[in-house]
Amino acid sequence: MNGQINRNRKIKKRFLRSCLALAAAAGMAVLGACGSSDSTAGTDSSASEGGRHLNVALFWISTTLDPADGYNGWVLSRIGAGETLLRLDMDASLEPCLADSWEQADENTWVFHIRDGVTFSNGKPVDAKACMDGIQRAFDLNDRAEEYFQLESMTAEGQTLTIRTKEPSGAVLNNLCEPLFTIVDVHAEESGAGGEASGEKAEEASARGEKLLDTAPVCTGPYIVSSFAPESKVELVKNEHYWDGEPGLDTITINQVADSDSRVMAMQSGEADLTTTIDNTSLALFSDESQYTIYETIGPRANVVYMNNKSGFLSDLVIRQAVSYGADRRTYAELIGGEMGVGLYSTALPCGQDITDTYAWNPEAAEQLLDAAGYVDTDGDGIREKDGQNIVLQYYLSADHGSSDATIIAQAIQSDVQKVGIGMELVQTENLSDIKSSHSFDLCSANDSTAPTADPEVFLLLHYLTGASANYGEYSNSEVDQMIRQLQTVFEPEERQKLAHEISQRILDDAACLYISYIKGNTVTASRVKNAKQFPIDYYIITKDITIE
Amino acid sequence: MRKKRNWSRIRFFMILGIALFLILLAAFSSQLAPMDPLETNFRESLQPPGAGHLCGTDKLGRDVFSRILCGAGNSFFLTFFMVLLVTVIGTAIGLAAGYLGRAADTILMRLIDVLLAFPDSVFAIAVAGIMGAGIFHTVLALALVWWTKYARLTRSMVANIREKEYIIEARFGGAGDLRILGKYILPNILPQIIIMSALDVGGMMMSLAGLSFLGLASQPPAPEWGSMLYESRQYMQTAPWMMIFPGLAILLTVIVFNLLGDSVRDLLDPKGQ
Repeated sequence: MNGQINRNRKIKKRFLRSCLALAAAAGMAVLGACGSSDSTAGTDSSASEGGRHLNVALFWISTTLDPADGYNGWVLSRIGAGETLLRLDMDASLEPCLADSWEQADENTWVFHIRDGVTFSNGKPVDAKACMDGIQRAFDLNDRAEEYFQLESMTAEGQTLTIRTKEPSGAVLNNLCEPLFTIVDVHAEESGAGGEASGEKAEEASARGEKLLDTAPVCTGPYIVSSFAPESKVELVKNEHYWDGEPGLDTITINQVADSDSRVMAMQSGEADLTTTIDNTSLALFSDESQYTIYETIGPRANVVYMNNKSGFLSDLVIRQAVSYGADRRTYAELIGGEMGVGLYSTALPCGQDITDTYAWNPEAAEQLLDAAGYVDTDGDGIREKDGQNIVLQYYLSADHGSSDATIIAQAIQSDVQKVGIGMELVQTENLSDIKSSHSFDLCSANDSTAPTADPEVFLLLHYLTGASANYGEYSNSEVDQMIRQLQTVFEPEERQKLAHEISQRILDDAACLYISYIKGNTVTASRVKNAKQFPIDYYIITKDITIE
Repeated sequence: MRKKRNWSRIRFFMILGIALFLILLAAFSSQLAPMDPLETNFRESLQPPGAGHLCGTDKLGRDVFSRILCGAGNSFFLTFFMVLLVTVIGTAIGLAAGYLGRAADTILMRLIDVLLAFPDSVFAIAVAGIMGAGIFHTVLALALVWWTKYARLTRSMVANIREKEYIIEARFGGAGDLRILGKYILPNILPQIIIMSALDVGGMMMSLAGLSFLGLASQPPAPEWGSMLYESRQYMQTAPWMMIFPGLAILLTVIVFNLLGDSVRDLLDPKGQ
């Protein structure tokens, strides 16, 4: 009997021990996971020893830093490492950067003068050839490049770069600001990161160069990447060779903090000195001016609800108009922040201003339209019928994109549109992009930059031209198609804006989709951080001017 | 000993009373709710708890108290339905495996081993990912994993009882398989199964709330405690009432149902004390 008890005890002990070991392992795994995904501690970095150091909490760090890969160039530009030929200023207008002057030789030819005395961060001079190689690499490796303009050929002579396009495009200058066209030293592998690569075999050197482009590309910006951990952390140091004066900081640590609330808490705890894209409701937490500074600007980004112009109920203009009249966009914008959306361009651009709000909130007008079309509620369930069928629309939305705007908008529209007798079913989904590209929705939410390079052309070509790749709502209007084609050949900036304004108005009048609100970008800094800016175009966060007291 | 037994009986009825009260609240939630849980009122966005709104309002100006009440209806119905479903399925399969033995037993038990390799929430997420989010798919995924527990328990108890003399005697007496299962085996194992399902109610409620939190079960704008918590996440600092009250609701009900499970066990299984 005693033996039995002893054995039981032993087994129990062994069991407990293994449980403990398991728990410890699980605990460590959890801690490890947290550490890698959400580490916001910037104090442990060796870079912070001496000098002016800034900790930044950024919502996204890419898997590599190669600007020609995916949207990685955006990260490189945001952290102040990458630069392009031209850039976009605080009022979204063009500004010289690596090119100090340019002219249009003919419809298809653009000539740039590359600024004298600019060097890469490794000291190598930036000439037209270097710029050409960087741009060529973007075209070779990234399909997105063709969307911006169709490259015919490039020639480089000293400091003069000539770019020829296949078709005329008035958007070339703006589109060259897209960080995809970051000027990067593509031959950095040949001179070698360390310089003593002379004895190395060619392929080894080339492989190392590729790796260099992935983790520490050699660019021209005010800061140089000194270490990089994919989707987690970037360390930067001051670029001593910077062409545009001395950068205001010595070192920067950038941590990826994907979740908006975590960024808020990182700011509150002092782990981060600067962060961006804080949720509108949480901005109130930083209202104390002695501690924080908030910078806000309307950008070209908009909360959109696409309507499927070819789907069962919504192919009917009357129902699209009724939905448009029924949605109280002004109130939604007040709820989520930003400005009320009207046309497809935001008020950050000249072409987004003074659009006539054809379908300003007016539930009575919606009801009259539906009544006149004979869509009435005969069975008393509060939903009108068309051909004996209840008008119920499927509204797809994505569960989470770091912002709850989409869910709030969806529920608000659902509740408002119900009042005029149109039903809506909300469906949360993870693979919204599949649903969008297969056109299998009535309505779906999106967050689009309608003028990513502050030029109206690209977005129209991709989203509203009949049959275009991102024309999710299958909008089609031959006159609008013609106007978009015409826009490509207009070069005078004011004329372009005027034409884009007209197109935007036409698309709105057709009730093609709902532009709910223009998003206000924000940057929040601790008050000792000076000279930060919130640019309308979200390619820029860290600039040479930012400094810390 | 008798005193102890009496006390657990009293405790059982007390907790049962509270649980029944909660269930009644849930059943008549739509009559009891002071406001329509879906009615938005943008002018009353994020109002703190007060006279007009007992638990405050959410971003869309909906009354949080009404939403919690109506959410209870959904949560309770789904939880009880799920527990009943997995209990019936699991017990039936366990009975079959334990009684038939041999090949049937081996096949069913290996199947269970395979299913047990999936953590239930992760499995539900995978199913929702493949088939699309929604109550039906989530329920299906959870049911697919949860029945195995009952099958295992039942099977091991049946395997024990099967060789007992009274079963052999019943067989000599001419009882058929179904009669033996229904009349001699099931009554003997039922208390254990009831205890297990009573203890599972709280866990099931948490699982469903967890999946709703991830946006996999209930769809907006339906009020559900898990998804209410998710919606409140962003307003943790600016409107904490959106999080505190649904959280409290989950905490209290899970505690009540866990205590109920415990006291059911104390009543039906005195050996365990």
